Amino acid sequence: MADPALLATYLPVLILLLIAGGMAVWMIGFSLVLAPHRPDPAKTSAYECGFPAFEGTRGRFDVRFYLVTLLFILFDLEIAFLFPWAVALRDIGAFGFWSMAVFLAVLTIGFAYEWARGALEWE
Amino acid sequence: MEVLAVFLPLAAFLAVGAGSQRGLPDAGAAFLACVAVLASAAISTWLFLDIAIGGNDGRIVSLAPFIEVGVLRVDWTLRVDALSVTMMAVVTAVSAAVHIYAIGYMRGDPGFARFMAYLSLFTFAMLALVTADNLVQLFFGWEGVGLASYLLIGFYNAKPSANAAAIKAFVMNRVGDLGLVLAMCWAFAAFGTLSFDGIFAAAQSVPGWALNGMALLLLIGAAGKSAQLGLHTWLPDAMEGPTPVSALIHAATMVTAGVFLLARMSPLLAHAPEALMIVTALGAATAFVAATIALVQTDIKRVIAYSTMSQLGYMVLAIGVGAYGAAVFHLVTHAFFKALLFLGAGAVIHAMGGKQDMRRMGALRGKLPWTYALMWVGVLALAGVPPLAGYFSKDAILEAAFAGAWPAFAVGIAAAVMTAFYGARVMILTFHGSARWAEGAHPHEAPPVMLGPLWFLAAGAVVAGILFYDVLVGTGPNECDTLKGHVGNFISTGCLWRAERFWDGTLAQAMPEGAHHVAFWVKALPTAAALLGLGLAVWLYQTAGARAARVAVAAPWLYRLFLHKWYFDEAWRAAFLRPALRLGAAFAGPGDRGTIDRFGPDGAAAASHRGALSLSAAQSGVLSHYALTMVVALAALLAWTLLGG
Amino acid sequence: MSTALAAIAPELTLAVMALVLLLLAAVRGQAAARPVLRGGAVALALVFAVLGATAGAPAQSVFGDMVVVDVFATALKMALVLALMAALALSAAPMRLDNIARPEYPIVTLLAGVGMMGMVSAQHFLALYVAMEMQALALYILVSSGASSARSAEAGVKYVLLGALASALMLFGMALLYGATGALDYVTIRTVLEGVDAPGLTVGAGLAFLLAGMAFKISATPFHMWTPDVYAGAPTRVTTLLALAPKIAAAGALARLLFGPLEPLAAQWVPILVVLSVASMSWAALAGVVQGDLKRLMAYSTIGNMGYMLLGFIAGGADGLAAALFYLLVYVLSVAGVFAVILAMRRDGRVVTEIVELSGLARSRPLLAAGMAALMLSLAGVPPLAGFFAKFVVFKVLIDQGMWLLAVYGLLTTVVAAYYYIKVVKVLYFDIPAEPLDRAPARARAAVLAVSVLGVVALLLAPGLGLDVARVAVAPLF
Repeated sequence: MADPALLATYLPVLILLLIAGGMAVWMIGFSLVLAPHRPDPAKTSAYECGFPAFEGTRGRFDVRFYLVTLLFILFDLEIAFLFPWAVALRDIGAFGFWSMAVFLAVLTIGFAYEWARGALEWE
Repeated sequence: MEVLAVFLPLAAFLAVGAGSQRGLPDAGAAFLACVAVLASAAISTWLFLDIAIGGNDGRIVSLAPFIEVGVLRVDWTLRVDALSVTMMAVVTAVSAAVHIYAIGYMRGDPGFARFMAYLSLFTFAMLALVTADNLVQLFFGWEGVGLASYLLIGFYNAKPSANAAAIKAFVMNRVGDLGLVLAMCWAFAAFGTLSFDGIFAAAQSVPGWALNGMALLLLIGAAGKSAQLGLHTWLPDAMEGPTPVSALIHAATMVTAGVFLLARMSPLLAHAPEALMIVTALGAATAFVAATIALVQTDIKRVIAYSTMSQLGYMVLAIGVGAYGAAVFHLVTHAFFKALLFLGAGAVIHAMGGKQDMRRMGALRGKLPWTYALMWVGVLALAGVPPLAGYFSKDAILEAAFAGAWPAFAVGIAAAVMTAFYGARVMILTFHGSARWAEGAHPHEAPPVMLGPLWFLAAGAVVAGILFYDVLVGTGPNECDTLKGHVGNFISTGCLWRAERFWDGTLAQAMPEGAHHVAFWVKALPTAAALLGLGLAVWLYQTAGARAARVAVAAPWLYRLFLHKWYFDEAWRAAFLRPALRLGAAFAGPGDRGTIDRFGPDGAAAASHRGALSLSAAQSGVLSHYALTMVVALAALLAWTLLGG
Repeated sequence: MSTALAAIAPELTLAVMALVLLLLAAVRGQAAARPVLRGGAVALALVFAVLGATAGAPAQSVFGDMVVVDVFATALKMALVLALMAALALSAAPMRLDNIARPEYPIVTLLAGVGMMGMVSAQHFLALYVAMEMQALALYILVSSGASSARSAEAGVKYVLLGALASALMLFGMALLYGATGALDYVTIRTVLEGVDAPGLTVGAGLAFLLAGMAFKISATPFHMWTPDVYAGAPTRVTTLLALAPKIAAAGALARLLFGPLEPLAAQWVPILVVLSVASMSWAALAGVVQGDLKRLMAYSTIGNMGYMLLGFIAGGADGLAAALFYLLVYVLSVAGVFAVILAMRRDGRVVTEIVELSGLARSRPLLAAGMAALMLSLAGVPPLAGFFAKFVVFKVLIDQGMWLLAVYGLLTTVVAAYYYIKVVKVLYFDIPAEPLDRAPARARAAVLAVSVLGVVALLLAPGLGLDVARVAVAPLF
């Protein structure tokens, strides 16, 4: 049932995948061959957001750190959303503009709420 | 209007019932209930006059659809025709009298408000019954009065005997209800409808044996509610309830439901002559047997209860010989004088501090003069002494019986002698002779709030016969256009009324054809019988009680037979209860517990309990188990759809 | 554009009101709890009025056929709004008594409502998914909102993780179906699927994944595992909401899927639903027997009742779906009353939820006990209460379709399940009375209980009426 014409429109994706894969192999392969190789524990451990990758799950941490991170991610994603919108704004016209305006308004109300409720105060 | 008449008592029941839980004062409960029922009575009377005198046609008021399943279609409707307005007027009038009487009788009872609520509930159920337009709604009211009766008989629910009597009444009625339900099923199968009009219209399209079968089933239903021989044993026991209840339910209204049912179905019964013969026989037997039992009872309320049963026998007899109008007529007059007798007896019991044994009474004439006088009115009306109410209605029945089935007439006359006898006996033992009061009794006249209803009912017992004779069973050539201005043969001199005009087809016929051509001696015999019974009672009891005792000694087996109520209770116990209990024990012991329980419920329960525990173990509370379950289930689902499908 | 906005006016109203209330909460802080609750109630009443006013309007598809507004959607939204109102009304008393009234609770409830209303109107996989996530996220917050309660937090974590798993399954199912048909909107998918003789592997797998996700939403066994833990762990006012509204939304979405784009695959999904239904009915009947906690018991009750509701889907056709919808509404009506009673259970200022705490309640609180008894008997399917009629119509449509074996099996499980409902009645009336419960006046709770009990009892007067309404509501799907 898959239409060959439909599949053809996915060709760019396939090409992207091939290039990305090739790029990864190329970078890791060349650095293995060419780069100087002096490992130490800090260098070989996996990178995990500033935490040791393996430790007891019962450890204490400051929950405010997570709160701020979560709030940051929200607005970070908003930016990610704004970029394609900005690029396509010429095509989507007034409807697109007002849609984003509403979206930002909702987000702003949320922001006002978290500010007023003190979610941004560290102490 | 008719909606108000039917639903006001329901509103009163809800209001008083809810109020009784949250400290509604007794006066408030009495006020609400009485106002509702009085208003209902006023409307009902108006409706009756509108149809009887105004000559308006009956009508059917549709309220709402009730059941629609396949071809079965039942609506909530109010049928307002000659028969139902007659019943409504009687029910609400007596009910109003009893409501007011109860204010005095139940004063200070901790359950006063509850009592008032139940009375109103009963009134509503009875009204729903008589205004039904189909068998289902009739059954609704039928069960409603059964429920109210159960609640009221067991009103003193701390008393074991009251509970036993309530249960007995309920169960005995159940047997009758089964008959009614089967009749409904059969009627639906045969006619495809349960509405009265539909059934009557199609009555002749059904073979005679089926009509006879339905009629007999209806008779069983009627026998349960109206205490006909065989299913009657609950009625005397129902006297455990407070006396106003006895007056309202077990004399004037609920027990007449069976008679009403037969009258309502008369267009069907008219096509079932064989079944009518059985109806006649049962009615006559009930009238006779109940009267014999009433001769020897010593509890004042029980005498009146058996008297009720006997009079119900007359009504059923009247149905049997095709005198449907006469049956309803007797129902109406009986309601007045029997309620009067019961309420009078209640006043006596009230005066004697709750004692009901007539051997412990006597010489109350001086202490309760009004009650005494009013109760004599009731007794004479019951005995059928002209020109009181009972004379007219009993005469009409006996004339019809003579024309239809002379053995029934003979039995009826014999019962009439006994009726007069036990009536006079009650009066003599209670009010005449020497005082045989228990220690510390201080009899006193009843308060006005109790006497008032007695006056009203006594008035009814005097004039109901004269007033309604023509309307309900008149056999004239029908010369008058309307009854207006010609109420009653005794008052009007102009035209002659024919009852068929009033009934307007709601009854198959008011009186059988031959009933108004009977000889003079037939008309005179009931009166003679009444006077004979009265005379006998005076002769036996008034002059030194020894004579009555000698009669009892002279025929000891007869005395014992009557005293033990023809051994009906014992016979039922031996014939049904004991075998049923033995059978039950056999099934319960080795049968149920040993076999069915062990492998059935107990086994299944144990198995499901084990299953439940193991399932509960699966509900471990561990998140990863849950996720795993979901994934495994999905995998199974996938495998199944992909490989199987 | 304006017609599209008018079509989703109920959702818009609710969302805007939620934002306004959020601003109010931002400005006034904790003190806004009461006004916000009132505002929430007003918003719902407003939405109900809007829905009522547009109920008769002809069906229309808006936003590029993503959203459809027809009688089915409007009817379910009205039911949803009533359920949300009941949940909000019931939440007031416990929050006041426990001194934890917060403005966020009504706001998040309203936002969940927006998602749920979207679910029953969705006519496109994306719209469905977004609406579903909207209600799910809101519910995650509510479940874990128990004030400093470890159980509530645990329930929240379980709900989030398992919910995310279910979402993932569903999304994957949608992706597979998209891959197979090249479309996300229901109409096109149906057209494509109708043109295929035998659905291939991709379609079958997509269907299985999609149904697994939906089964999670309606708590059908074996995807029900979260239900008892979340019901028991969440604050009771949230459990009330969980038991009422999301079931309506999920059932509505499921009906749109199964009788819309997936209709051509009926031969595939009917057996799956049979398995889910039989498993739910059996599991709930058996596992419910040993529960001692009322909230857990109600969780199993939900599972079982969803099993019976699925029977209507299985019977299929307008009659079957109408029976299922009727069943669902009766279930929601009864359960609202049951939770009104559970929320009334407090002793010495503490919340209690064990069944034994109800011992002899008939003595101390006869009305409350009578209401609870009526609801339990209705859930058990005892005539002449509403629950009986609901079960009756579901079994009837099954038998009409010749699936009497399934009907008999359903009947058997009701017998087993009746045990635990009737056990509650027994505890209420025949056990030695426990200490009387606290008497806290709560008019809203009494009103919800009264409506529920009266509805369950009064259906007797017009048993056909509810079914007729359901028939009208499902008509647009056929």
